[in-house]
Amino acid sequence: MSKHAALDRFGRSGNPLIRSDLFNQTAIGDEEVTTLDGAVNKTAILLALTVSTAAISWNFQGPTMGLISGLGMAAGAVASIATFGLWIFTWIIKPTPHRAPYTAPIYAIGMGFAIGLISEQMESQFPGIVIQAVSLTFFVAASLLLLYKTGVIRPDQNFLLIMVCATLGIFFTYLANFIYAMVTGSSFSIITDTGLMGIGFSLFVVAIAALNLVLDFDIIEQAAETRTPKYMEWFGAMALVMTLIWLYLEILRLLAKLRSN
Amino acid sequence: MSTVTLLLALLGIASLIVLFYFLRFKASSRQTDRDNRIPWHKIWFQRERYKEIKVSIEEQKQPKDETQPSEEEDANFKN
Repeated sequence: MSKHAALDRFGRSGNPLIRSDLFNQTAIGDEEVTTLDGAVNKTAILLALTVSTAAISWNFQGPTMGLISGLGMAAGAVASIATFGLWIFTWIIKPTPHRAPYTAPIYAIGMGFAIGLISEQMESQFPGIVIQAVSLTFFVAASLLLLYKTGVIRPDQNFLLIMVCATLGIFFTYLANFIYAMVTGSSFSIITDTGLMGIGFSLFVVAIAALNLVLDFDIIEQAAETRTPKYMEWFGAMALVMTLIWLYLEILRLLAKLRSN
Repeated sequence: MSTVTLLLALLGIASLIVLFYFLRFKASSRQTDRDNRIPWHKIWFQRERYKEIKVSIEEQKQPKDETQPSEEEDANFKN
């Protein structure tokens, strides 16, 4: 039993079968299992889908594309909740990784449309910002991958708890900002401010998004180690692409703030 | 394109290659051989484990069904 009651709650089940020692067995038989190569290939496929649809929305601007991007973002949100579930103190919607082969491409395509539109608008204001943001995103991801693979960063349950709390905190801040903006028409100054406070907030969010990548690498690594079913490749790839997209958007926002000064 | 953007673009391409190359390798034993790893199987793999356990229990029950006495044997025993 872990010393963290909250983490135990994640995996707790009323089913006596799951609560027994049999839970720890890993017998899948002749079924195809997750491999690191497979997860990498799926990540490449999802990134290719995202870039393709981003290129479409970048090149074909207009109200129709705005509507498609909005729908794409909504589809991406639904796809991610359908796969990863919804956890607010307890599971409201349970995670269903077996849906990932269907939901991951939907997420990648939908978010691609939204990213293309956002990127084009930022590029028109700050030329060259998109290339810089994309490059920095991959640089951060590659650096953290090396730190993870060599064992310099070793995620444990404390790390997971801190990341979950920080990520939920950011999520609720953005949600509150969205509601506040809908009511008053203006945003929280800490999010949009181009001063020290705003840049500091963006740096914090970039750091949390980057450290979330470590969790994604760990999911893929453990899925391959424990011989989980093949669809876990899609699940791990989707988690990684989700974090990469989040990190890219936050770096884009940070660079825009730095350029505005 | 400014020099900074060009340099960052080259850095980005190199990083992309590094990312996809090293992602294929298994992590070092320093990462994998430790007791305090995150129990992802408890968080994500509940449904899969349940299915596996159900199948294995059904398989365990199977031989018992085969050793059940036939109706003829039952009849002989009653006589």
